[in-house]
Amino acid sequence: MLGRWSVFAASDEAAELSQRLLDRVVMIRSRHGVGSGVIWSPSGLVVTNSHVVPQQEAEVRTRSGEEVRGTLLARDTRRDLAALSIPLRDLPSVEVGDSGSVRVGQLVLAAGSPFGVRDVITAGVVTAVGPVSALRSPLSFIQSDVSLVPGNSGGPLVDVGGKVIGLNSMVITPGLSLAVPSAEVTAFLQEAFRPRAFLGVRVVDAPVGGVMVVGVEPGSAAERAGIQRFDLLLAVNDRDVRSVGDLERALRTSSPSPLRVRLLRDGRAILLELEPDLRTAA
Amino acid sequence: MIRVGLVSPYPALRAGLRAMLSGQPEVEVVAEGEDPGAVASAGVDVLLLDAPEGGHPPGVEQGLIILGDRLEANLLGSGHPVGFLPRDASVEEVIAAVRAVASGLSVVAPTLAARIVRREPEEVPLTQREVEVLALMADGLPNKAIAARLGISEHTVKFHVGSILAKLGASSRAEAVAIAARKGLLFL
Repeated sequence: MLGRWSVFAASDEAAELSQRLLDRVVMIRSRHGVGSGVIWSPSGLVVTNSHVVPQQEAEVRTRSGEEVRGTLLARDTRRDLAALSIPLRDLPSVEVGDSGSVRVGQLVLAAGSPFGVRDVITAGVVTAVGPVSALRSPLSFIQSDVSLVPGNSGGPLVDVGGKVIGLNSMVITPGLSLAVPSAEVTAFLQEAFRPRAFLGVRVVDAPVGGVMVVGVEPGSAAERAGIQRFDLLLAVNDRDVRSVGDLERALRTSSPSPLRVRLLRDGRAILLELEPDLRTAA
Repeated sequence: MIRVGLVSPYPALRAGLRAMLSGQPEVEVVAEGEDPGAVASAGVDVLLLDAPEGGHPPGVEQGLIILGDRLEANLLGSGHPVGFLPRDASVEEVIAAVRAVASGLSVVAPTLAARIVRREPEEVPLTQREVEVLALMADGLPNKAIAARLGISEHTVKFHVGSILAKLGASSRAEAVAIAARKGLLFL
């Protein structure tokens, strides 16, 4: 049982935490309505829900009143996440918590702009963690009873230490709100900005499996390694390539250097080890 | 003597193959059954396989001859000796393939080899500028950044993006990039 002064102290702390949190939350306005976003880095990286920024740009307003244009850097519709760049620097940014250690029953706060009303905080408890059967999706969510309405989407869900453990994403019913875990946000950003391997080949699906090279970019890693037009690419780093999508995924997710490429040329199997060029998305 | 194992879910087909190979010098059928792994473990040099599923059968390290109408580039490029023969292959063709695969060579019947055709990318009437815009779209750049990169106005980029989407039959930028990659229009 908390004493009277302990309750006052806890209340004061919650109020201070709320103010610090709101400094790190932005309001995002697009043609489709209003949402919220989280300032993820002082250099102007804002993270929000993908559905909050359906187009390439959106208006972003900070708590200090600056209104700027945010440019979409990356989007993941599966996770319902988007990253925006805003032309402001030295911004107050959030501290990211460990969503993997969130426990049912712990207290949480949510911040955002419900119905376009700025600087609103709501509180609740975590009611469950994991996939939501009604969504028929394997994605995990942090479920809580914080009160969310349109406009809260993309705002932070924080623990009592003020660390972001999730990004408020949707409401199933009043009293059942879902947040994308912060670990998913971190994974999204790592995937979006990680350099990916670039071979420099244009390919089409081959009817016998693999993908056929139909073009080699001059000066590219593929040309340097001796990959030729009409080579049949079969595997990258021991992962079978059965379609153009497979190759794209293999290049995006493989450890970029070096790459082992198995191919078939005039009926002969050839194994190449090459240093790919690196490209960063966005 | 080359020891051959016969694998097929159909006993009649196995019996036919056994009869075909009986009496052939250098070749001896030493095992047969439905499970490739079990037949392979019976000390065979070459497995003659008639199976509906594709891919390399698990537990088989020996030379493999696949009977049927499929040709799998992945098996051919695996480095293991493999043969592809149609089901109507003659006795001479089967024996020749068994000898070749037992010697560490890979063989493909001419009728199946014709499937490894050299393909050209599908013709899509994109202009050079549209191809440049498409490549930058694939890198995830928004219109503003594409405009800056190409030294053209954002309005012009928007026009190009609309044209690209229409020509590729795409409803979004992401779909346009995916379609373009499949059609061999984008460097990966």
